[in-house]
Amino acid sequence: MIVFHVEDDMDIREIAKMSLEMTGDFTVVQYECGEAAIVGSGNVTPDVLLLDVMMPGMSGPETLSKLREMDHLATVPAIYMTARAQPNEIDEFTRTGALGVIIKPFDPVTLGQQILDIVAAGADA
Amino acid sequence: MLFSDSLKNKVPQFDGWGTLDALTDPIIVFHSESLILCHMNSAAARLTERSLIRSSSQEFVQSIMGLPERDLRAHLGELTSHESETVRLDVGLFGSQFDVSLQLAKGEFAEPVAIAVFRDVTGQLEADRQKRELVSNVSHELRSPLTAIKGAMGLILSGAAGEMPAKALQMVQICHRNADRLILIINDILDLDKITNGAMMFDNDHVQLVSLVNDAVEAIEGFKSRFDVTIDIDIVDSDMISFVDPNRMVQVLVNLLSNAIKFSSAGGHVTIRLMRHGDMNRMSVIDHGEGIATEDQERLFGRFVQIGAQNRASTGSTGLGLSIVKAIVNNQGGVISFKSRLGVGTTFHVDLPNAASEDNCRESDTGRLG
Repeated sequence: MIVFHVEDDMDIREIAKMSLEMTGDFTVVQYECGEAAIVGSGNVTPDVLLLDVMMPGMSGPETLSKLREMDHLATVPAIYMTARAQPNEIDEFTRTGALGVIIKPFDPVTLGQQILDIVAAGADA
Repeated sequence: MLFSDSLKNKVPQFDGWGTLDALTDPIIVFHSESLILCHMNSAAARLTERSLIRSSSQEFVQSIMGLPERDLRAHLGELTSHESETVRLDVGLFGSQFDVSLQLAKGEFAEPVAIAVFRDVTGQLEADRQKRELVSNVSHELRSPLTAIKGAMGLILSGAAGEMPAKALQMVQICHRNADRLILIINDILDLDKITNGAMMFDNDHVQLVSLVNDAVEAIEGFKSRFDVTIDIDIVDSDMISFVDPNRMVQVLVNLLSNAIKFSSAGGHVTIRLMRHGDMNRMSVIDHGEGIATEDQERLFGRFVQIGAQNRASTGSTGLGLSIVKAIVNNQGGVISFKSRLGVGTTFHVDLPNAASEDNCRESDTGRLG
């Protein structure tokens, strides 16, 4: 499974990449901001978009909105990662087109399974 | 005369008007029955000079108190009936916020007279807002580095970085555990901030309380194993349903269970029980630990309260948990209570309204019971 991961914190990018790739199920392509993701996403179609919410410059929802304008990313399942997780905020995130939210701090051992579960639940819905 | 209604023959005899003029807080004195203004001190006159000419003094009194006549009379009724000694009101005037203290005058006046003292709290409220914002922002900012720290240590502990010497592994476990503790503290501070601001959101649903108990016991599994304590689940009434936020109620149960576990001896038992209590659904967490001393019981639900001989580091307690638990339970229309005896143990009861007998159930929100 190919994951496009957009996260401004370098250390969290590193942890997420290690967490996902050690399972053998994921290939992780990472961007440090929304603008870089838009420029770099090219023609590769990932299986899931994993987006930090609060980033300098474009926020996660703004980034997703722009990525959705690209034909090859228009329907790719999207998941936000955030430390802010009030029920109304989660509702707001899902209204912007994400399947779900993973709360920070995340468990590196189960991060991959969390992504698979959210994508599977979205496919069933 | 500034007002259309004359004050002649209505101003009570009083030698202290000059004293009131010397005070910096605006003060008005008015008949508690007619609402006609008897006196305002110099500070009140300065505050309101732009608005005086246009109204009768009764209208002025209602206007400066920020209340329509009916509500003002209701508050005065509370004072007359001795329901309250003082009524406190938040009033916005000319861009400032005032904490207004309304009382009936005693002794000096032959007439029934009310006195309202206006204290400008604009600066204090702004300072409070800035303090809360700082705490909230710092707490959020701490989460990113903690995500990296906890994540890195989690990867090491999972073996992703290869084999580690036993001693080093033990050190990493200590770091990991304390990162969890820091996260707990930050979460508690943020929750308390939300509660203080009235910003905590609740996503209520009709919930089988058995499922809450199972979720809470599952969530506390890792914590429990560190203390060698067994949790006994005692379901006396299995069909209890309440209209609550399931995540927040699991948070409540996990907090009560973690306290019970922390204060139990190794090899001890903690019981979580579901049983009807009158019209209410009761969830009880029972431990056989050291109990809570009588002098500690009164302040149990206060903030940053630590009970017992065990220190914060050994129990992982923030001292905020029970105040958050109480705020959540109360918000959900419930009541939390406890009984405790030193050397015998402590029982916490959470009583929630039974959804079947509630008026505020949303007919459409039955999905969770599916």
